[in-house]
Amino acid sequence: MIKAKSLKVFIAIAAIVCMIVAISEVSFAQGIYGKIKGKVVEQGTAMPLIGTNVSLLGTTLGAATDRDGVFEIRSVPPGTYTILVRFMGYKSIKQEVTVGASQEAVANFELKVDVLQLDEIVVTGMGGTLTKEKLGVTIAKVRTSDLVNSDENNIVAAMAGKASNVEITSFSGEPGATQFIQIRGRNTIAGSREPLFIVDGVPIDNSTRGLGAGGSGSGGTVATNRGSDLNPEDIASMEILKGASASAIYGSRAANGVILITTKSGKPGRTNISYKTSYSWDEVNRIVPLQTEYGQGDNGVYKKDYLRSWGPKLDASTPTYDHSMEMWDQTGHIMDNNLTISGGNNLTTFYASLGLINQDGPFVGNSDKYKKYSFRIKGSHVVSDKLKVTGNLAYAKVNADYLNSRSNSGGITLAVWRTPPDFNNLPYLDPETGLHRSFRYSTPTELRASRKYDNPFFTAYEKINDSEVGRTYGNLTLEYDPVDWIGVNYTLGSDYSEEDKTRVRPVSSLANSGNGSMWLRNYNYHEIDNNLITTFKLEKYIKKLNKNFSGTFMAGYNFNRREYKYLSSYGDNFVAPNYYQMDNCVTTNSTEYEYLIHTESFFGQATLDIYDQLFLTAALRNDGSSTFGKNERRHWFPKFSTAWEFTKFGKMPKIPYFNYGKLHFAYGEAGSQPGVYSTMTGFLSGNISGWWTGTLNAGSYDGVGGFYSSSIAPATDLRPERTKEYEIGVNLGFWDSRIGFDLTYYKSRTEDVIFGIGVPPSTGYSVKTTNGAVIENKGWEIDFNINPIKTKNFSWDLGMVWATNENKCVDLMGAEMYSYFDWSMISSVAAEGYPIGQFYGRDYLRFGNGSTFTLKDGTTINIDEAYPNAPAGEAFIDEDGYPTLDPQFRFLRDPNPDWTAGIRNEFTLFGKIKLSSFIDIKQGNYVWNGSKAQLINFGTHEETLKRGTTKVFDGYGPGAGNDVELDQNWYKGVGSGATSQFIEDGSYVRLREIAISYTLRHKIVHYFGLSDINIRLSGRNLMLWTDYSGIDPETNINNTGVMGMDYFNMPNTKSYVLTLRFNY
Amino acid sequence: MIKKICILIILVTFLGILPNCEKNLTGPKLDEDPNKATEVTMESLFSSVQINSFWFNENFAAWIVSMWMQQMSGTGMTFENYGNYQIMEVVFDDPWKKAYCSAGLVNIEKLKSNANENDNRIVAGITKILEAFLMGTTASLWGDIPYSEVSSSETPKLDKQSAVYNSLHQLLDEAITDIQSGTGYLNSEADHYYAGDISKWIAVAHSLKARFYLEWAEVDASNYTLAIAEAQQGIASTADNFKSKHSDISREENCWFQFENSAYSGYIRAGKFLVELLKSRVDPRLEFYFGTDANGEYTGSDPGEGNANASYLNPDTYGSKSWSSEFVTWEEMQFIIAECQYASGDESGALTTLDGVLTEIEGKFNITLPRYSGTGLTGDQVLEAIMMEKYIAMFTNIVVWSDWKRTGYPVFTMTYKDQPVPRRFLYPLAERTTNPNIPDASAYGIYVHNENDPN
Repeated sequence: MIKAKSLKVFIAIAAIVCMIVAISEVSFAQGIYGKIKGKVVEQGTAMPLIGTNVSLLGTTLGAATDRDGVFEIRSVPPGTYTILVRFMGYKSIKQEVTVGASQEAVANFELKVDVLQLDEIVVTGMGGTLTKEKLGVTIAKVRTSDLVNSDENNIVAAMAGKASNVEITSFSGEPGATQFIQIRGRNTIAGSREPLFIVDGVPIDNSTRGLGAGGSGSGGTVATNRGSDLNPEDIASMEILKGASASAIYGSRAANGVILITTKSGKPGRTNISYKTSYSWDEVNRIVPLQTEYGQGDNGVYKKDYLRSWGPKLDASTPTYDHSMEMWDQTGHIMDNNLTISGGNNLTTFYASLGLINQDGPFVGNSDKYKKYSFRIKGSHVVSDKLKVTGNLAYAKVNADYLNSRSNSGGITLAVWRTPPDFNNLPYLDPETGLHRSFRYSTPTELRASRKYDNPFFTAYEKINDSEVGRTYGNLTLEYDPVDWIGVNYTLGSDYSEEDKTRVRPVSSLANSGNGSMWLRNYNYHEIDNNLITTFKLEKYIKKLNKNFSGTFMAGYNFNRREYKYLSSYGDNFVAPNYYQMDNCVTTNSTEYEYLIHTESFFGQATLDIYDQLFLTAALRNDGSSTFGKNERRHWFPKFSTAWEFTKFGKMPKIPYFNYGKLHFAYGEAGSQPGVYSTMTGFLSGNISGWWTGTLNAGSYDGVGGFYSSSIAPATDLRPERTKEYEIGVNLGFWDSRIGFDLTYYKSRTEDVIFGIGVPPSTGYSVKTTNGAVIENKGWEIDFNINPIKTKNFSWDLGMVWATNENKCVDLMGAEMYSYFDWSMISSVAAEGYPIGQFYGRDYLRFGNGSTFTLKDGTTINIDEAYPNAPAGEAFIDEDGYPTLDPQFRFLRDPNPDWTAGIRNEFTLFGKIKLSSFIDIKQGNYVWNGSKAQLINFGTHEETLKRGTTKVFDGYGPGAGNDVELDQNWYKGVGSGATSQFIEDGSYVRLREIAISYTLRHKIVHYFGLSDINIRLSGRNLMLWTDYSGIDPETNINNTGVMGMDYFNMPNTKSYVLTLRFNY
Repeated sequence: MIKKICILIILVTFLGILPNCEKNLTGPKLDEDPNKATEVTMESLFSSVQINSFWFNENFAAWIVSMWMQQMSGTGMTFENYGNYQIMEVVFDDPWKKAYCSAGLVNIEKLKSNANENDNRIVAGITKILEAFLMGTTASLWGDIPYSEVSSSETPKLDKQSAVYNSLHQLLDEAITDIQSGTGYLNSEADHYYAGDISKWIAVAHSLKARFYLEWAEVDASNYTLAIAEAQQGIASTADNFKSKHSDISREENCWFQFENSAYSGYIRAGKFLVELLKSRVDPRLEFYFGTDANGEYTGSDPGEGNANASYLNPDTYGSKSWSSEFVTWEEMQFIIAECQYASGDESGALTTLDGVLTEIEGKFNITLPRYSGTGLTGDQVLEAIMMEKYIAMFTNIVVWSDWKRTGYPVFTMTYKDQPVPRRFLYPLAERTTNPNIPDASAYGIYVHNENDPN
């Protein structure tokens, strides 16, 4: 039933690709042509460079070197050519070569190491490329080998730490868990902070869909960011346009930056086959410490089925259970198999890959499984010297079985960590009655009754949280050069995905009073992108005017359509207890949601090179979108950049060991589109529901339909959010380009930020969507690369990235704050003068705020007046001697890091053995340890072993100096209720990767027809140094982009991975 | 030549696309939200407004009041904190929004104007009663509230509580006239309270006036006279009580049931004060109101005790799915009459009225209760008897809080850490941070007396 449409699209595009491949057989011809042969080796070591790109400039001809570094370009028409030899990490070489009819020309090359990689082609977006030398903006290029070697099958996770100021946060260690990216700080409040993903010139969906209509909400399980459907093995290059100064050409969807991905293509020459297989051992890396000395009960007295563990001290004879590990006390595995085949000739190339990932997480139970099949076929054919056709199609199928985890009473973390240490969660079915038992309903007598908390093993073994995704995405590109100075590129892209989620809460689980319930949800997303670019190659005309000038001009048109549809059916009260279909439910209901967005753009870009040392780029884009207000239909996004290679300047004195220097400056503007339908309002039909609980279905109540107005006041007109960014930087090369140092400073100001400004609810609306907030981000970025040792048998590469970002909301239109995540104990807010995401929550009652306090006799005092000597910020101590709670929330800490860094080391021995490590550092970010707060309240946290001891609290007040007992009342009250106590420094240093690999190029390998076998043993996340007292501080509470909140979040994992790669 | 043609083709392509700009950005699903209705019927608004009033009166406000009045007790998580008077501005956002947004006051205004446009004075009148009920309750809980400027100002000022009550009396008078005019039509299916019986709505209007007058009797004793007059025209029998409508269908269940059957199960339990009071009186309502705990006994939890294993509501009555919470009742009118009789010096009349209520309650619950006439009670004892009976009878109704503030009954045996019992709600965070007319919580707090609560 499902995926039918997805499959249809797949078949259609596959047919086109096959046609292209078929045509190629016909048009392949040989005759009077000559060929060019040669070998490419590393200078100094004479080591063959495998996979070097060798091309003839001005033609489509080229080849790649084989395992011996040998290349051969066939079917070369007689003539003189410029041959370009290019290999990542080396200085490229251009050389003239002459080929006669039916002759073989020989050209050998020695490439020199170049950490600056100035000749490297950098994709700048919208069909544009520049060599790194000419770049006027900072574009981070992520090495594809780094992506593959990260042992992450989600490309976003693979990017972690690889580029400065590209901050990746994983949701948890659960299979398929979503990953967040944030580049150069947050510049939106309510909108998405995720960058735009462009694959082969076409936007693809990287959203994370939860269980809600708009895809928000975690629904008690993880959800996956759809970018993970991309197979990392397919990626040929990845560029990150970090800020508006680089991304402006993508207009109103680019304010968060753009990730540009180019997939691999076949190269003319020998057919390459590569097969990779890897297997991992995954374990949970950090847990929450729990106590095992005090049992279930209250005030030191055992109480059966009691919520908390404030019972008696357990004697040695009582068996105790450490619940901190019992749900993940096993090793998970990932089996990853990948096959790629690529090749072709001068006219036709092909690339095909097939990947299969099968993961079983380290969590106990039938769930936490993730299976991904990915398939890609790509072919290109030169139809004539004026026309080239490329077809590219990927298909992904993901089957996941998630866990009901996190902060909901059915979630395993919540239930297991709250279980008293003297209660055994096993067996989860009562041996006598066969009924589901839990610590709050330990001797079950009824099947259809709430267990208060579900037994975590019941959750892990009996609940169903399935997700099935089918996705087809790809593009068809026509490159047409009507005349030699005009190139037309038309790309039609399509990204279609469908997801079915099934959630079953069996009879006896918490939901719906133990009567069972289920959801069926279907999400459908389709994006179509039409992109037309005309490039005017004006070099020779400009050169005619002045031989020292050169330049290009490009103009284009884009039309983009995004369509989303969501259908949900809910049913409850299963009639037959173990049959999970809608017809088995007593009541059912359905909801739906849909949207359609059109965006239409015009854009142009010009580049000018002066004296081969001053490089200028200017671009302009105009966007119109259906999400813009009626009077704000179209908006302009300009950019300008300049780079000056001052070491080429004639009058520049030569400095020893300093061989390259470039200054660059850029300015650009990019936007974020308003949320769909934000300018429209209407009446809703549905639930009247409470913040806590209590839902009445006003949409249909006792057979009467009802409507009520939305509490969001309609926005009159909305513009896109606009980020204006400038950056200035310097790129320096020393020691014959073996040391590279890049320094960038940027500052951005995002205006017209859209948020729901709170309006007094007494007016009938609580929020009004509006443009107007202003956010600033500024920071420094350093990229440092050095190749200190380079000999035939030993080489050492060291790379470091370091970045700071200072984020501040500078204007919130007078609103005191905007809370984009409310929890009863803490909120994450935007407020003037604070970074976005600032924690706001419960604190001790402190001096300096003009607060009042009511004493036991009923008199109310102003604490600052009553204790004039108490310094502001000190806690008020009540008559008994304890701090008390401030009735008002206060600003607490900042979840944004002060700085982040990554250090990559790579040692190569004898050209065969590689040792590598990657250290990821994040400093100065605060994390709310909500799990600890709540577990202290429950008396299960290790911290509560201090019960019964005494303490003198610091502060001033009537009871200051009293030595008071840390009793149950303290821990259950202010001791767990004052959130400020649980906001901890979440800084970390982690050994994200460490690996050793060996490449076998022995005769035996060749005997089997293989060029080499690579064996790699690696560790992911093996070491973590942090002061945080909970799980791995790299965590997130939900999938909507809130930072630094840990409330019964699932732990993270570490892995050992063995990888074998066979290359033919 | 070829070059020129090519350039021409490219230019034409671009120019050909340009005029389409606007067309590409408008159309179905682009310039209208397919997920929301723009025109709705009067009945559909009327239904939602009533359901919102069910929610408002048996959800958060009722939970908090019943904990502070020790009929119930907070025994888990933040509810334990709330029960211990540790409460924050933010938690009041939700009930406040229910009062003003969506199916609250803003849709009541919309419904009134729809009714007026259709010349439907019956619906207009009933809507005014719902408005008076909603705003009167809000003012009773928060004191001074925004009311007169809610439609005209972006930052409505706080109206004095007395001004709100005066407006509501006027509104109720209008409502009665409107309904009595007989102009218009009421769809009986859409009337969740009285299934289209408009005379019962008129009685509710009088009952609300009686309640509102009584709430001001502490300030001005002349309100007793006004209250008794309205109470006598109020709800005429227990069968006509103004109460919510629920069923066993999912999302039509009583909010108290939903609370106990949600993730918050165990966070509210029976209040020890009421449980012990009923036990000491051997009052059979103990078993009617409450269920048994795990040991088959009736237990309550004191403030600060946090006994999550104490009894909850009786799963067959107050704690059942389809239980109708009574908001304004015949019993309340009789208690008002009794209290007014007592205030005017008619102590024996007051006790007779009180016994009349007990007789009715006996019939209603099929139980037996003692009588007061002839027991020789005098003076404050009479008032105490009336107020204690009202405290027990008006179980889970927020009116017990204003009674306590007014009369000091019941007298609680203990409070959390000997702290005083709160006397008002905090203005919600959402209103305080957006409306400069709202004071900071730290500047007043939950112990400040409202205007109608001078002592």
